[in-house]
Amino acid sequence: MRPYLAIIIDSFRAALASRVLYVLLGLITILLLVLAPIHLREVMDWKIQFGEHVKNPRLLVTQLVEKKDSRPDVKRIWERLPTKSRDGMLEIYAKNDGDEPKQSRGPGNPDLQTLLGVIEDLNEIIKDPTFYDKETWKDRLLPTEAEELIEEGPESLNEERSRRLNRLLISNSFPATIEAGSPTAMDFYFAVWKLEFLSSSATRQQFKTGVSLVIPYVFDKFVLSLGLLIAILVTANIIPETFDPGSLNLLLSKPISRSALYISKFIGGCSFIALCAVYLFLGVWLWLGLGLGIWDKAFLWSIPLYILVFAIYYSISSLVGLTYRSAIMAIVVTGLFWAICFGVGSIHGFLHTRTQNFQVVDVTPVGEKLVAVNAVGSLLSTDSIKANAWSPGAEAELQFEEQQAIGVATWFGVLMEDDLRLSPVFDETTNRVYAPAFSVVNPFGINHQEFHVADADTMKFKKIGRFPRDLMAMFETAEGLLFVTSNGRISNLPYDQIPDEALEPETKKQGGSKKTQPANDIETQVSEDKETDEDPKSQNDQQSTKPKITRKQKIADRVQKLGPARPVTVKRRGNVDYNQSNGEIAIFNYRNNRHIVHIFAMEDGKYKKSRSVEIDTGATARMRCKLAYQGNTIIIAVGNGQIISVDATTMKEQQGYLPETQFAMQTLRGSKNGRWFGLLCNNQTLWILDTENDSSMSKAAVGGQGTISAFGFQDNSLWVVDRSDRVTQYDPETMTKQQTFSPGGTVLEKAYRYVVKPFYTICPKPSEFYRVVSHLSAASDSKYDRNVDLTRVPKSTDPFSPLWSGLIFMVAMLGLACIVFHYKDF
Amino acid sequence: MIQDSEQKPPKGYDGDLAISVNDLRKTYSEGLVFRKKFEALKGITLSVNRGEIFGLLGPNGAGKTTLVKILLGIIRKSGGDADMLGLPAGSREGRKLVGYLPEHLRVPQHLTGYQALELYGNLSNVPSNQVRKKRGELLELVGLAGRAKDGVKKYSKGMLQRLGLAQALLHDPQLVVMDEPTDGLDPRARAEMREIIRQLQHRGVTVFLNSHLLQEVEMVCQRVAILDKGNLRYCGEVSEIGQFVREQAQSQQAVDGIETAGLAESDPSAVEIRIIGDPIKVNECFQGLDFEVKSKTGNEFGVSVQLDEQSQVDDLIDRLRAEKISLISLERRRVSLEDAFLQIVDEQSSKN
Repeated sequence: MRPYLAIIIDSFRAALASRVLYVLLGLITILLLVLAPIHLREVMDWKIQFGEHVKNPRLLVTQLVEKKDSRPDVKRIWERLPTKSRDGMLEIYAKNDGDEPKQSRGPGNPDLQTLLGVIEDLNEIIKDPTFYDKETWKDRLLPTEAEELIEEGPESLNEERSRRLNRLLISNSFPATIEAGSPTAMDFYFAVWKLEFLSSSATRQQFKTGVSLVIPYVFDKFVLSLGLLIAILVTANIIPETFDPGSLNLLLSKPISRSALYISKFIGGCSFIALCAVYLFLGVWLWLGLGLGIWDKAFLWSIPLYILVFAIYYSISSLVGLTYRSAIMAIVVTGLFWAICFGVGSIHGFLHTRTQNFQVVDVTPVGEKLVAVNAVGSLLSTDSIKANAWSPGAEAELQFEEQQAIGVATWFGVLMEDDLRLSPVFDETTNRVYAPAFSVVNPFGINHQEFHVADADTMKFKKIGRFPRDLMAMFETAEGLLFVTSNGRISNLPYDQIPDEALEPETKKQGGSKKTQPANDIETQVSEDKETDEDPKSQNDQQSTKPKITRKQKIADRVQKLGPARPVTVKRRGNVDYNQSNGEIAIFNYRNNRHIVHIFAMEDGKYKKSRSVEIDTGATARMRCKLAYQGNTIIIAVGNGQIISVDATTMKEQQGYLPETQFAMQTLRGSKNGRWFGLLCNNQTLWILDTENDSSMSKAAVGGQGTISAFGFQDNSLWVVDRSDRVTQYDPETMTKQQTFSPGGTVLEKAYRYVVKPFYTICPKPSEFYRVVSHLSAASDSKYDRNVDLTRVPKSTDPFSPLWSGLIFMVAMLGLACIVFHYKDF
Repeated sequence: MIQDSEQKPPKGYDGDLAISVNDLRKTYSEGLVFRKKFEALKGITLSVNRGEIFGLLGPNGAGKTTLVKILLGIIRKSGGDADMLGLPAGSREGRKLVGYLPEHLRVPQHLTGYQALELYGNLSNVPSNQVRKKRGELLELVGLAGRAKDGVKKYSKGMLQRLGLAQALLHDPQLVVMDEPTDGLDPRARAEMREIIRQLQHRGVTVFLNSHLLQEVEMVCQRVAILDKGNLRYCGEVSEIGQFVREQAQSQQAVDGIETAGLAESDPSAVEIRIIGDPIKVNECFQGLDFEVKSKTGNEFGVSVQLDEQSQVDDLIDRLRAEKISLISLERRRVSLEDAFLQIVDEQSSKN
């Protein structure tokens, strides 16, 4: 070991003796000196800001004027406002005459100055330490933060805390108009000067999370790219110099192994960058801790990681240096290699997006055939599972510009959000498939899905119209198609009411069947029901679809309205499920900080709310959730990674648990018999719950875990889509493979799968190393936070993949160099 | 192929061979597709005894460095056998027992003399504390004692050679291989280097000297080998190289029937005499001898005469003095290593 340690120590000596090292250390020192004075002070947030906290000042004026006599707290605020302000407000109120106040932000608005003045005056009131009066607020329900401050004694509070209390009191008086905001705000300083443009109202935790994500990225892309270039230039001559005959012959005559000599020299070469990396990252880490109060140990992982990034390049540089004994060659080849890595990464990214768009994200078995929807929302179908090829389901019907738009979308990666898509349904009694497909021609109409129908025998889809924008779910029932809209209205479209002409032979199409556009009829029917909408967004949607209502009144009675009289808003498409065994509908709803599951049951031909249960998600924040209701079990997959199962009869939570890995859920479905439930996670793994045998959800014993993009249940089989579009049928009882539908894919897909992807996998990905640091940072930051909605966290592939591929590549290069060195005559 | 002739073991020889090379071959190949082959060693057989100073001679491109590199394991042989201190040449065990002073030694510029010694000592698996113990004596030996704390970038070529020699001796090697050790050194330094080499021999270390400075080799080596174009031309005692050259010439003469002027000149039985005296008396004194008058200036003659035995020389001097002929100088001709080397090499080139 001694000889090899001596070589490494000598490399450190060489690094320390190098002038370039001191130049680099000097540059790093300058950077640290610039950063050092930047520090952060967490202050209590008390200031009301127009725009951020007050979005509608007119509404504030209205509330102040109207409630100043009836509410003691508002009266106290009103009394403390200066007369000028009060007169101004009365004037504005009189002008509006109590009408619905409109938002006004235009610079030409003469009232704007008055309104801004009111906010300024409120901020002045906040500064008054005697503002709080026990008598005035005795009937008001105050937030916990305010209660705690009052308990401490408003007189004894320091200036900052007293202002925060006043701020909370004012927000409490106008909850809808003045947002309470976060309790603290961040003020940035450069030495003694406050950096206004950087200050934010984020909490320290939010700030920390943000910084942990941003800092590695910034360092990766800017500081290290430059550092890496310099390091490669500086170290390129180490190996050629060592292997100069004058020194090499002596080295080789020593009783040491050649491979170990090379590896030692390589490790020694990394000492240069190691010294710089330790200084830089330790410095920045100290600055983050001392200046910004973020002690993130994971950040220190940057040191070994970036030495590894350098080592990857250096392994190439050394190999070339060894072979040609020329520093120039080493630099040129390393540069070329970087360019190749960059090129492969770009091509991979481009093709990955494109192939992802062809990924099947929904599969519905239709007897011996399959209907699927891909990520861009195009319908696919098979004539037979044995045919092993997808045929376009509806694209043949599309007009030229629609096909073009789909083409553009697939190249540029316009992926449909999962929540926007309706699933195709197959009705056995009529032997028809009803499927949605996106219209991508109009970017503003992207939420619209075209209604396609096909005969299950021919599988020729015909567009018969358009689903309304606010349609949240479509289920097949014995009577017809059951629709649930965003405002919670349920309606039934009997099968016999679905236009038949769509299924006529193609000759009819030439007769101008497209012009009839029966689609709008359906849209009309469903949209008509909207009245008690709780969601202002869907109100707008309703307005935008209004002009079409008048067109086809005659089909109005095709749809049967099934209530309910008191509907519940359906925010997302995964929030509703139809129980195939008892016909009940479950809707998941978030309102007033509560997560509730409502069950609607048919009673006298109408749906009525039968029961409901509040779900304890453990989260205080709003969570996206998915719901499945089959048999007697309701499964709720919460955005924070929890899975909760509820007994549908007793409406009691049976159990709540976390899957082994905390990944965001993507699709949740139950089998019609209510025995199996499947959950597809964002990391493309499928988890199965067998309600009869298992007590918890376990990773399904199916092939292709990690590449699964869709699944579905049919009678007693499970259908799983993996590797983009391969569909396999399993028996869920035994998880044995029954049959596989394996289309080869397009040339592009094949090129991606068999050429680009393997090449990309083995190629080092030095520019992606910030992902590892960010991941480590995030992982060490919080193991599990109930309040983090994982579905909102950006999807990330294996964060350690750059690490592994980099390591493997480096080891391969070193191995190759050792072989060359071992057999080469010098 | 000239075989290793008359192995007369030097004083103190214990019967072991330090280096044993048998039919050693090395062929270099160049180019990936159209490989060019070059035969650097064409079957060399020689041996070096323990404790002797052995010189390896040869013109540029003769294969000397190739032989040294094979012995040290820097390159691989293409055929034949090579052993060093009873171990296969190039083996790690063998390399532990060898000190090597390469030609054009380059020491990393950031090191001081001490640091370089520590590095090379460690590479020979000598612990740093051992290096520190030994370095004083070694630096004294090589004459670098006062300058060891200086950075090597301030060293002259001679100082680098001394440092190189010191590092070669750090691990008490049994065999020291020196590649052009006196190359680029001033006369005083060369003398010192020769002295060091002799001291090493006194310590029982075998020295294998690879050099083209023939006078240096002649001064220190007991035995030499002459390589030319990958072939071994001579291997034996330095003192016997004249005899070898003469025998070579005679056998050649017998074959060709042609007298080569160069060979006569280097005949070791010729005696050069310079005298002053009466030409008639001079002629009388040389009667019956094989002689040749080389020069005549007035009464001063330069004569070359064949006198095999020393008694014949004494008789001639008695006769000359009896005739009152004045003797200016008398010198028996001796073949220098350089003469022999040139003749051996030139003979081969003329044959080719």
